Amino acid sequence: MSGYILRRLGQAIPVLLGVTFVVFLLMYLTPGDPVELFMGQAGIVSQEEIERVRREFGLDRPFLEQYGRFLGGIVRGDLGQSIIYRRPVAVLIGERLPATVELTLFSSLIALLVAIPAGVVAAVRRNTWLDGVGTTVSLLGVSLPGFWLGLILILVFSVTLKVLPVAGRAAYGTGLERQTGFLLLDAMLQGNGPAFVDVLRHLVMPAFALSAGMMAMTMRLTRSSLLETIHQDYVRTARAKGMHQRRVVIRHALRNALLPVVTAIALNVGALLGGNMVVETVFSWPGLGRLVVEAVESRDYPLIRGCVLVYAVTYVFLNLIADLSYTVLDPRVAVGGGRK
Amino acid sequence: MRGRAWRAFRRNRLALAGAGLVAAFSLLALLAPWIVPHDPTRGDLSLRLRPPALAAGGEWRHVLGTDNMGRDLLSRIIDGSRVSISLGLVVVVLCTVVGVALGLVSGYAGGWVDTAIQRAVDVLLAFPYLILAIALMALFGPGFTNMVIALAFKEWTTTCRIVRSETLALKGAAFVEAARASGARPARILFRHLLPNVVPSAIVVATLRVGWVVLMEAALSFLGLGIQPPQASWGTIIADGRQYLYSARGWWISTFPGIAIFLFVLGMNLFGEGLRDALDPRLAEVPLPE
Amino acid sequence: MKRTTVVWLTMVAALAVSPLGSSQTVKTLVVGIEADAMTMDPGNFRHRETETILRNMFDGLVTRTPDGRIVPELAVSWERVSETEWVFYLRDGVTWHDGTPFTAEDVVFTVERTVKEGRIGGLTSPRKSLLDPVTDAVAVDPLTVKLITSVPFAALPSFLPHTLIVPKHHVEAVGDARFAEQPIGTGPFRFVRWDRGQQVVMERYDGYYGGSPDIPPVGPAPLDRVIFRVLPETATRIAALRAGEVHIATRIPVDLIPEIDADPNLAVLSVRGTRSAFLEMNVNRPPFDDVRVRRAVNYAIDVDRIIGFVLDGLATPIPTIMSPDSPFYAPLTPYGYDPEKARALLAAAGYADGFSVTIDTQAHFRDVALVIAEMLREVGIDAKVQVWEWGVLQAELLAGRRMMHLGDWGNSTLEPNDIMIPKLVTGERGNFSGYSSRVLEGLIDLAERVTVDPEVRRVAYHIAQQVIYDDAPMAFLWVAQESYGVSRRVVGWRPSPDSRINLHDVDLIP
Repeated sequence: MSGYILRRLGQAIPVLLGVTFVVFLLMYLTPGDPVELFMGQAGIVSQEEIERVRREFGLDRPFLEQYGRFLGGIVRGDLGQSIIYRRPVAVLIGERLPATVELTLFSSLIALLVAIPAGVVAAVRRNTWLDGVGTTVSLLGVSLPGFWLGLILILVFSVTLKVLPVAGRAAYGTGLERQTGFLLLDAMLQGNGPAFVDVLRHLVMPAFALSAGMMAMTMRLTRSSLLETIHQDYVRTARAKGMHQRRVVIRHALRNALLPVVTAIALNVGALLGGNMVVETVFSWPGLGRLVVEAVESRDYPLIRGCVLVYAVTYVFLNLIADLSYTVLDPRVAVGGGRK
Repeated sequence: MRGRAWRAFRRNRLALAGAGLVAAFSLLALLAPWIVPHDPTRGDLSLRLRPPALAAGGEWRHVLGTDNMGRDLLSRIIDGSRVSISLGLVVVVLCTVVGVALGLVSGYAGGWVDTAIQRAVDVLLAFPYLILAIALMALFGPGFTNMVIALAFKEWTTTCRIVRSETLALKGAAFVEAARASGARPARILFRHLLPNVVPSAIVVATLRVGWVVLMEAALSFLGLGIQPPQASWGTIIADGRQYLYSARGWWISTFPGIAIFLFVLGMNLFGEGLRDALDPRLAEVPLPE
Repeated sequence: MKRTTVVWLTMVAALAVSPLGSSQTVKTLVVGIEADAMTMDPGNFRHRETETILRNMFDGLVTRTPDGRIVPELAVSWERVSETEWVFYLRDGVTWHDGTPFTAEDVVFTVERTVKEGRIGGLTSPRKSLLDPVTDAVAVDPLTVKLITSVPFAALPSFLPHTLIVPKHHVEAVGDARFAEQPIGTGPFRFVRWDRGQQVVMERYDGYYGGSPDIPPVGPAPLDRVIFRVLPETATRIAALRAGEVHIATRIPVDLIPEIDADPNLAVLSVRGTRSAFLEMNVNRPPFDDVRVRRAVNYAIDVDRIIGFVLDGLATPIPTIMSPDSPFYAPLTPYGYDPEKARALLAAAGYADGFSVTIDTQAHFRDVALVIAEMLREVGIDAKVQVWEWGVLQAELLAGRRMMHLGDWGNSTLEPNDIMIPKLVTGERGNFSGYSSRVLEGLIDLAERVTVDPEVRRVAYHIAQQVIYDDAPMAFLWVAQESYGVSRRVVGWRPSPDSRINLHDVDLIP
């Protein structure tokens, strides 16, 4: 097993190299000058000043030298300085990453809590009205632009009903101190009940908006995967032996059916991480998605590279987890075969 | 086999409803130039922000009201269906062709070809989608074609992976072995024997992706990278009208195209799910769009 | 499964009950702003919102009143002692938020940190060129400081509100990086906390000297706490305003003003901004190398109609690029709408049949661009609109590859050189029309480097505006108003043209 993990990690290196190189190349080819953009559309800026900033951030260096420096920096754990924030990229990402991870995990949780039961019901009552309703409802979320759904949620729950805060991660004044950056965890560690509830209240709408797509996917996957297992021999055997249908489903079929669901979810958590820029903007969620949008708009190369690297590492990591969980949970899959 | 699939599909009322929605919208898009009541690109500034016919102060001249430039909203939605649906189709066709071709080659050839293609797929998959799209849009400049490239750049990988794994499974099948034994060249095996067998799943993936492309275009519009004026897609109309969403004077601008996009994407997804159920109940693992 | 449902329902029920709202004894004003601060270091940014936020914790030597006058703040008075030397007499009894007295050393430290290279964590302050002719500062005594410029720099006081004074003792003690996260200043509010990307929290500094005597009331701020909340999405910002979560929301789009005004709890306050809008033409390429064509474009655009219909009347037409609020504004008559004249000029220039052109712009100008394109088509110019992402468009414009650009440029100092140099001087970074005029450059040079005589400078800039008007390197459009949504509980605040939100004098009634 450890050999397998090592080999998989070895495979990750060319992927990460590829990603960093592509992002470098893209940024090199994409028009836009970070220094000109940084200076804004107002005020006098001398040419010397622009040259100086370019020099100070090493932007006047040849392409390969910049790439080499970046790789060297990664090895030393240094991702460079952000041009717009003028602070180390690693620190900026460290501040924003927990917000995104917390949002992503929470929305995955919502998706699971809703989608798996719904999927089971749809499968057990296949082709009945319950199945139809379940299918349609699960597809509703994935049929709307995310920002539109988010804005409607705000309109309903914050402006009209006034039961949830409009946006942000936490209100000021609950006495919550930032420790891990995962605010739910921080509130628990500090035993701060009101802060915990406050953070939850802020999480609900963005997490729901983000989870809509995953909910649909999980529900459909649970349904079809369960259908498949229900027809398999051992389930039939169990049923033939006179077991009650609900027990058959829960005890035998579901456990096996959830396997592909779990792996798919692990993979899709990565997709959620990379796809939440829109939701983060609508809900003013101070996460990586908004940081990266800012970075791209201002061509803050060091910051873009850093963010892309984090996304890529996360993706590779989650892939590994998915494969491992597959091999661990399902002894029929031989180690090393992987799943494709 | 095909007959069974068709029967299964026909029994699925939801899928039929989805197909109906898709057909209706496609018809709308095809006929757009002849059925728009007003010029969708030109407005009369003195008629801006007129409410829909059924709302207070509305008139039947502009059934769904006008936007902030005095353009007829119904005409814009009908015209926008052309852009959105054709974008969805073009992107998906492109992704399917590229994905199937590379998936077949990757799975059948194996060895370093497979490794190279799969590492490229890995790199693309590890790339956050929107960064890639934004960079590509910036790189190639705005426009329909470039948006197609930006949206398709990463998307073919899904099809590629699925087709590859199916090819791997089929490679050892008896009929392929037989063809190889009788001296068929690889190209012939790929086209005559493998391709027909991977097409159904590729079609299902493609159907489920059309809606995703339409929504993705809306997300790009939200980030300010939409289709070029005076044309507008559903996504651009929704994104541009979103600031009016809470306003008594203009809520319709974003709401009606929102309903249109919703019905179309829902229809497409129901249709796709029905196809999936009908064609292959085991094809379960289409990953989530970002 | 059932248990899950129960847990879930309990959770939802718990969420629906607001746990907050107990700390209402503390008067907290919340501002919804569209971008977060980039840093808490007033010497290390070029970013409008950062200045808006920091302004409440830091003061300058001088400040600008909401109607644009330059008045004393940390300085009591100033005089020019020679062509290139200014002496500022500082206010006595001012303290930093840690209680340390403010002195001339702090001013010297701030100026040197701004204008000398490599002074902020090894990097040079990006605000250097905002003070460019200033080369050094010398403390004459603890409350007197001398600023030295390389050339006569008559506009110095207008630029100084943008240089916020930083504490020498503190920066030297904690270092630049730490200072940028936990600053202290001399302003009415002291720093409390910065949740990045989300909010900046500050509380009243009770030892405040009171602020500029020219902007009454003088004394500590009435508010206990101020929070700047970051809400980049316009719809969300307005939702927060309507939900009562913020008291002031920036950048309200004109079409939404009636809606907010109709809310009994809210009002919209507007002020003429300092950004001039224009349609730039590439003067180095035909057809815009012919001044008649450029004038024709000016005549072809019905600025009043656009202002009336698209901007709801919330903009002022301008004859050149200068705002009417500038003390150097020359009251020329704008070209005005005259399509006949436009056609005649086009014909005279040999374009009787018109020509095709693309108007390049950014998304927020698209609607205006479409209207202008329509107007140009009326006189025979076949105009299309192309919307770009700014990073790409800026690169294209700098390379001189585009023909027409619809955009705007800020002039928060309201000094002519601050906008004429970047927009109209040969090779400068904002000169997207590729304009080059030795007459104009000579006049700017005269006003900025040769003389300090106010009358000579005034005349020079009036002639300069006439030159710009005649050469018409752009179609001159307007200065737009900026609108803020404000809760009716907020008293004592009015928006400032340079988009600062100073909360020193503001109070919140129940």
